[in-house]
Order: sequence, then structure tokens, then C-alpha cells
Amino acid sequence: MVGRMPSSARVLVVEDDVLIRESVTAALDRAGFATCAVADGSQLPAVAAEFRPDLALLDVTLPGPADGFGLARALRRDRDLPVIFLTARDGAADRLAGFGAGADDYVVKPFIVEELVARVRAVLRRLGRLPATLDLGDLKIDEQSAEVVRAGAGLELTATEYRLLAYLAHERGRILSKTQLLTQVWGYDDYDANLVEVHVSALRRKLEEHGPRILHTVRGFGYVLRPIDGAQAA
Amino acid sequence: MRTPSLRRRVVLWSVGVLALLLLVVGVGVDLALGAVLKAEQRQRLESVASLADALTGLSDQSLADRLSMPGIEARITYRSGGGAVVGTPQPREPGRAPRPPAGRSSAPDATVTEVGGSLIATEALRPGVTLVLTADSGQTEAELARFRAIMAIASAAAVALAAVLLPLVLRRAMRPLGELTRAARETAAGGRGRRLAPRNPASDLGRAATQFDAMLEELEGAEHRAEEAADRLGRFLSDASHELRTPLAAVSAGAERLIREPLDDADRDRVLVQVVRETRRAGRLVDDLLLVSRLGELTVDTRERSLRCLLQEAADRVAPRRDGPTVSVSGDDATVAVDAGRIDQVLANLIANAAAAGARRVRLHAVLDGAEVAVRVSDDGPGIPVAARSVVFDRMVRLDPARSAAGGGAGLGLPIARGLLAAHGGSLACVDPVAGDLPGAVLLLRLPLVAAAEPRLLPSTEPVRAR
Repeated sequence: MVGRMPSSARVLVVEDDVLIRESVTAALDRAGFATCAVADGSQLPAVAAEFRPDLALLDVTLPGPADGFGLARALRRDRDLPVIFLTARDGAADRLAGFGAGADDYVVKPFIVEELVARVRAVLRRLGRLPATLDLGDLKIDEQSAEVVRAGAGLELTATEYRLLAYLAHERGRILSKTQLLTQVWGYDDYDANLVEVHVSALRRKLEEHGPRILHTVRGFGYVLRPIDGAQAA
Repeated sequence: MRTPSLRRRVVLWSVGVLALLLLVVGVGVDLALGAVLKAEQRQRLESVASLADALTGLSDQSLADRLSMPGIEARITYRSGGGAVVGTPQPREPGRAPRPPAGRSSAPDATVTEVGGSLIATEALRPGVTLVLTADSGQTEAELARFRAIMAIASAAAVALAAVLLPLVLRRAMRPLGELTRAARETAAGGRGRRLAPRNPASDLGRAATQFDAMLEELEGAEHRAEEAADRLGRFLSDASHELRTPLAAVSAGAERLIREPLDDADRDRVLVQVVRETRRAGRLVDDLLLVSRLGELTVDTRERSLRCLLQEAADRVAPRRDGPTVSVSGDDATVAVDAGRIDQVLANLIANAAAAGARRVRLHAVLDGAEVAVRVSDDGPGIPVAARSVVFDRMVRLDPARSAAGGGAGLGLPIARGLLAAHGGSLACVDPVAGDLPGAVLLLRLPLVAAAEPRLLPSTEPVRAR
């Protein structure tokens, strides 16, 4: 793979529903995280001790004696571990219980997987366990301030262009179809696929004011961001 | 309801009645007094007349003079042809009147007559000479008039005083009514729990207050029940949506994965199968929710079936499933009129519940019991605590909240099972294990019999092994 994320933060996923567990794990893997997934909390202390996660994604309702809140308390007792809860319960009382159990974030089902990945990144970045800046050769993206700099010059991007670039940057080296871009950047509502073309060309124009083309079209497949490596540039 | 001012009405009526009473008393006393005065006058006339008998040796004139006194006028009349009146009390003129001869003592007593409101006593002194004594009615009248005036003034004063005092007294007397009004106003304004608690519930106000309290009790009870029902509905809807979220989240996550990731065929099929499975789970949940919301008005299409066949079919259906418990069928056979699909749903729910609770074996044992057949569904799971045995039949009650995702369902299985049995004229209860039952949870299912089919004990079938 080209340009894997330098850091490899470790995420522990505890979710009993196999589809959610696999889908989330796969998305986190793609985003460059090292993952470990279990279906229940029975072996959690041992798993956590071995895997040494930087963050835990916990389903709230789990089979077995301890629910997600209980697992979170146990995990935090052993180590200072950030926790994101996945839950079907979204009442105010449920949220308060979640934050009371030490949640760093609280994601209500059903959720968009890419949004969950973004929340994982945000929590890790906030806690300083993930660099705030994505470094792609001459392109630098500060995900905390949403600032983009190419070859030392700041780019003025719209919010949509920024989200598009950030997604392409996280998936750099991979060819992304229009459908993928549309759903992950705009969401799952019924948008016009032309949105992608329009925004890609706008983004491309802004990027190319300060350097060669890095956002390429792959005919018949989609788009790919190929950053200029220091070695390639030289 | 006509609502004139009670206080004004009571005052007006009381004053009116008082005035009427005073009038009646006044008139009565007036009449009685008049009669008494008249009798007195008559007596006086008679005594004066008898005095005339005693006074002998006086001329007629002086007799008349002597007899005339305040209130009484004495006259002597002489019959002369047409009966002219002669002799009235005059200043004394001695010698004028001839000396009457003796023998008056034989004269009859005076006769008293009433003429035109005045009493007149006539007494024959001698033949042809009559003493006429006339009582002056003016004095009696004057006395009566004075009495009437005093009576009228006193009555007016009494009525006026009553009109002034009654409202004050009534205000005090009507204080409980004010309290009742206040309580009603507070309750209407949203206050709750207010009661009048009458000290004497037997009195008229006490009865009203007791009824008022009873009404408040009933209203607040009804309100409370309505709120509870709304709360339960709200919780049910909230629980139902949460239950639906889990399969929806899984479907969404699976579908997203298919969009996002290039998967090989085997992986893609696996994800798709899971997506379909979760979709069906959501569909079943929706079916159950609809069913549970309609349990009260359910009709079943019944047909006579062998209970044993139904039990065996339910057991056989579980057998091929992975992780399914081992289900054995034993006991009596019976003919029951049932909707086979619904009874199968009941049995499947009970078996699924047992499996979800961790049971590895389930025993279905039928026993004839009068006009019913009882099926004991026992398992070797952890059982249901006695305290929880009634609540498990409420909607969305799960003894282990974590179990939903593990296949335990949404807590609708038992309420649905009970509702379906009720629609068949049967019942479902959670009972203690008895000898022969497996040691975990025991659910007792009862169905009315159509006709007992050969009440013979069938040999226990070999347990159907899962896998």
C-alpha cells in the first residue's frame, strides 16, 4: 500500500453484532488503525493487556455479566483508555449514563461507519495520540484547525472541498468510486453524482495552483490521491 | 342547576318567615287582648249594675250620677209611650226626680248586650224605668291601638335586626362551603392530593364533602392511570425503536462495507447473508410489535388438532438449528381446537426464550386436567425468580437486558404467547418446577379440550438431538 498512515493507533472493538463488528473493524483497518475485535467482554482484561489499545469502541448492550458501561469502568481502572460507546439507546438519561461511565464520545446506532472512524480519529487527536497533521509530501492537512497547506501556501477550501480532500487523503493511494466519494463525503441521501465531478475539479484547481497534479482521474473507476513523496519529488 | 345566592336567599326567606310569624303573633295577641278587655268591661258593667241594686234610697238622677264613672255612662230611661229616653247624668238637681218607691230589690239582674262594638247593660229599676249603662269602647280601642303600635315597632326592629345579623351568622355557617369551593378551585388549577376530610361525614355538608373527596379520589386515580398508560406507551415506543435500531445499524454497516470495500465473493456473500438475516430480524420484530399491539382484538381460525403432533412439530423445528436446545415431548395426547400456526408460534417463543436464557434442554409435557390440557414447558436454564414471574408477561421486559442482541428477542415473546393462548381460551403462567420438570423455568400452558383422545400415557419419545 502506498503511504500508509505513519502512526498505527490501536483500537479495540467490543460489539456482539457480527455485521457491525466486521464492518467497523474493516473500516478502521483501512483507515490505518491496528484493530482487535471481540464479541463480548468476558476475556476483555486479558485481551486489553495483550493488545494494549489506544482506544476502545464498546457496544453498550452486550451478552454476559458486564455491559459496555461496566467494561468501560474496568478498562479505565486498569489504564487511562479513551472510550467511545456504540448504542441503540439515545435518551438523555442514556447519554448521561454513558458520559458518566467515562465516555469520550457516544455514537447512536445506526451510524455511518466513516463518521465513526472520524470520531475515533478526533478522540485520539484530542488526546494527542494521533498527530494533528496529515503529512502527504508537499501537502499538509491540519485536521484540528482544518487548514490545508501546499508547498508552504495556505489553500482556501470550502467545507465540502475540505471533507473531500480529507477523505481522499485518508484513503490515499486507493481508487475511490464516485459512489464511495458521494456517500462518504456527502452522505447517504440521494445526491446527484455530478456533485463529485464539480467538487473534484474545483479542489483540483486549488491544489494545482501550488504544485503538480496529485488528484488523478482513473477512467471508468473513479479518483485517487497520489501524494508526491519526498523521494519522488526529488 | 339554578344557582341564586344562597346567602341572600336564606336571609330573605328567614326574614320573611320571621315577619310572617311576628304578624301572626301580633294579630293573635291583639285578638286575645281585645277579648280580655271586653270581658273585663262586661264584668265591670255587671258589677256597676249590681252596685245600682245596692244603692237604694237615691233619686234616679243621683243614682245615674253615682254610677257614671270614667268609661261608663249611666242613664235612666222611662218608658213613655214610644219609649223616650229621659234622664242622663246631669249636674245634681236635687228634688227633681221623684223618690222611687221601695221594692227594687225584686228587679232582675242586668242584661248585657253589645251594640255596635259598645257594651250596654240594661237593668229595670222599676217597671217602666230602666237603668242603661254604656261602656265607653274608646278606651279599650285606645289601649289596643297602643299595643298594636308597640307590637309593630318591636316587630319592625326584630326584622331589621334579623336582616342585619343573619348575613353575618350565615357567613360563618357557610364557611365549609367556601372551603369546598377553594378545594375545587385548587384542584381545577392543577393542585392534587387536596382532600376535605369532613369531621362529621353524616351531616349534610359532611356528605357533600365526603362525595367531593370520593370524586377527587376517582378523578385523580383516573388521571394517574391515564398518565401511567401514556408512560407505558411512551416507554414501549421508545423500547421498540431501540430494538429496531440494532438490526438497522447492522444492515447499514454491512451495506456500507459492501460499498466501501472490494470484497471477494465469499466475503461478499457472507456479508449479504448477514444483511438479509438482520433485515428479517427487523421484519420479525415489526411483526411482533404489530401483533403485541393487537393482542386484545385477536381472532383465531381454529381447527381440531392433536396436541401431541403440535408439540412434536415444534420440537422438530428447533432440532436442525445450530445452538438449539434439545426438546423432548411427553405426556398425554389431547384434541384441541387451535390455530396451529399461532400455537406453533407460542411454542417456538417459549423454546427460544429457554434457549436465550442458556437452557440446553427443554421438556414439553402434556397432562389432562379436567376440561383442559396443561402443557408444562420446563428447561434446565437458570429459571425465573419468583418476584419476576408476573412481570415477564409485560411487554418489553427482559430479565437480562443484554440478551436482546444475542437472540433473546425484544421481550415480546411471553406477552405474545400469553395473548395468543388467551385468544384460544387458554392461559400461560410461570410456575414452580415439580417432580419430572427440568429444574429451570417452568411455563404452564393451558388449552381447553375438545375431547380427550384415549387418555392413555404415551411413552416418552426420544429427545430430539440438536445437531
